Amino acid sequence: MWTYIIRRLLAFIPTVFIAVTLIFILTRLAPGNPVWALIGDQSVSAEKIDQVTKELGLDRPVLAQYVEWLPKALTGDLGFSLFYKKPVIDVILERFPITLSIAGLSTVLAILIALPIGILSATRQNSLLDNLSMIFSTVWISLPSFWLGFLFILLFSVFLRWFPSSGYRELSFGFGLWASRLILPVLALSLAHIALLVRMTRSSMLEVLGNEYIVAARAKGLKEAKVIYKHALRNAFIPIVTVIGLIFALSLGGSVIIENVFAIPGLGQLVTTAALRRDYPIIEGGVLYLTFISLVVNLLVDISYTLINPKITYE
Amino acid sequence: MRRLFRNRLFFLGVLILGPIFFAAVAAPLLSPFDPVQLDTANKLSPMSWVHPFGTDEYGRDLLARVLYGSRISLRVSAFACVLTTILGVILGALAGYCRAVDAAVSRVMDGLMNFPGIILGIMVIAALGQSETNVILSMTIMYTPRIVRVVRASVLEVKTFDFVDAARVVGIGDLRILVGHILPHIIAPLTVQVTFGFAWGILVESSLSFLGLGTPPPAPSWGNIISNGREFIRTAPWLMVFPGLIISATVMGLNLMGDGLRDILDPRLRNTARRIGTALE
Repeated sequence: MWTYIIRRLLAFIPTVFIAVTLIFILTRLAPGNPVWALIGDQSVSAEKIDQVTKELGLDRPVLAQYVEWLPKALTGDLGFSLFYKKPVIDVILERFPITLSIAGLSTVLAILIALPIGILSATRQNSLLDNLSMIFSTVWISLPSFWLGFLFILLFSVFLRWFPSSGYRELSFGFGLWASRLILPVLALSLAHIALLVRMTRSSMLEVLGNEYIVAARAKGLKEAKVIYKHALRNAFIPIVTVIGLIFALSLGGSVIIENVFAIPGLGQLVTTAALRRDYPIIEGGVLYLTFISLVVNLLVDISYTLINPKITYE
Repeated sequence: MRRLFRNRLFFLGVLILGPIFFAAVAAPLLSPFDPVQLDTANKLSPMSWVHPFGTDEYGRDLLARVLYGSRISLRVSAFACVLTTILGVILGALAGYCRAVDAAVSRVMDGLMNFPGIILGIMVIAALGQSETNVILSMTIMYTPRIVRVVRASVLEVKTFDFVDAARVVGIGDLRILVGHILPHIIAPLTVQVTFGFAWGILVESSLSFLGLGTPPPAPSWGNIISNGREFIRTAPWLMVFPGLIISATVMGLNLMGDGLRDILDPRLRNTARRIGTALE
């Protein structure tokens, strides 16, 4: 087990390295001079452009820029934002807890709702519940999350007036205020993922329930609940945990859109605004941060495999 | 072909998509209005016989905008699918067939798949600038790894079959083995993946347009119509309800078609983690 964990940790290093390198390459895809994008359409003198180019180090070869940029990026020195007049890392850290709570809560919600439904529909295959959950998940998975968000605003804020339609309050303002503003975005984000997890739980449970040791467990007179939770669920859990990790990554990505729907000042909104303004240090930093978190979650999921099933070894 | 239409999922998908594609092609015949023509006397008017979907804040007919928008949304996703397929097949086939290429290609593709959700697309558009072409490019960069993965896995499998060895013994060159003998066998899983990719593309295009990073206005695309409508959610909810319904119907139709195709073409995959790739909105 420990060799597996250590080898998995070692493999994490090149993964992060590649992700960081891709960010460097992709943000420098722009044809022409990125200084133009920074300055915008104002007419400026050639000297000014030269000066900005020098300040940003863009006059040097790309490889030299990369060699200087990489260690900085890896140690969290992500540069300085011209728009916020602050180091990028400060701007990101201010907003990160918001995005993390949205993604985290929606993952937890998805697990709480989807696992029981998935298990029930597997144990009662072709029942009404099973068919309903299959139809619903086919529909839900096709809805764009931002549209779902607007439908929720329309229903719960405009018509029913239960929750505010947008904005964010820190937890320090009180739990009620905080939760009332998070509930709709979290719900909108988790619904599509619930569908995914229900399907995965169902199919993975069905596969396990067809095994002979389940028949044997039943034959020796074990209670059905014990058969399901101790014998079946445990063995069905690896693909389920994989999907849970995937759902967290999807929620991080999805929060980019949902934060824009509900005007929540998280990392996602930060990155989109930065993309519209072409504030490159913020884009780079924000993407780096979001990707890093999702990689870490992936790592944890992989490590949890060996806790669920100690037989697993590194391929 | 008959088997295709006997499959209920596929048939249902075609039933949903048929009218939508027809409407996109026949847009000028179905609506007398110009999607970008302003008519300030009629702004934000609700549904009526003249304007079945109502009008927006500039008095533009929403039905016309949704109809013409479907042309843009479907075109963007279709182009992205074509590019993705070409790139994905070339890279995937090389990676599956040739070990030296495999390490490099697989690393980069895994790296690209590690970016959560739409983030990668946002980054590429921020770098390249906002235009329809760049939306297609960014979607291609986002989806190619998935096609590469499918093609590579299939090539790795088919490569071990006896007929490939037989072809080699006869003295046929690597390229001809790859193109003539191996690639025909991956068409089934590829078709399934590309169908899901089309659905995914519709969602991603609309999400990018919604964020203001997709098809630039005033040209209508499903996403930017919703994005425009958000300000009027209290006064004119139809502005976002109708385009959203059409997006959902299209994506669902494509997903059903993909499910049906997979059941027919690739029965081994039945009941496994379906559509993980399409839920990436």
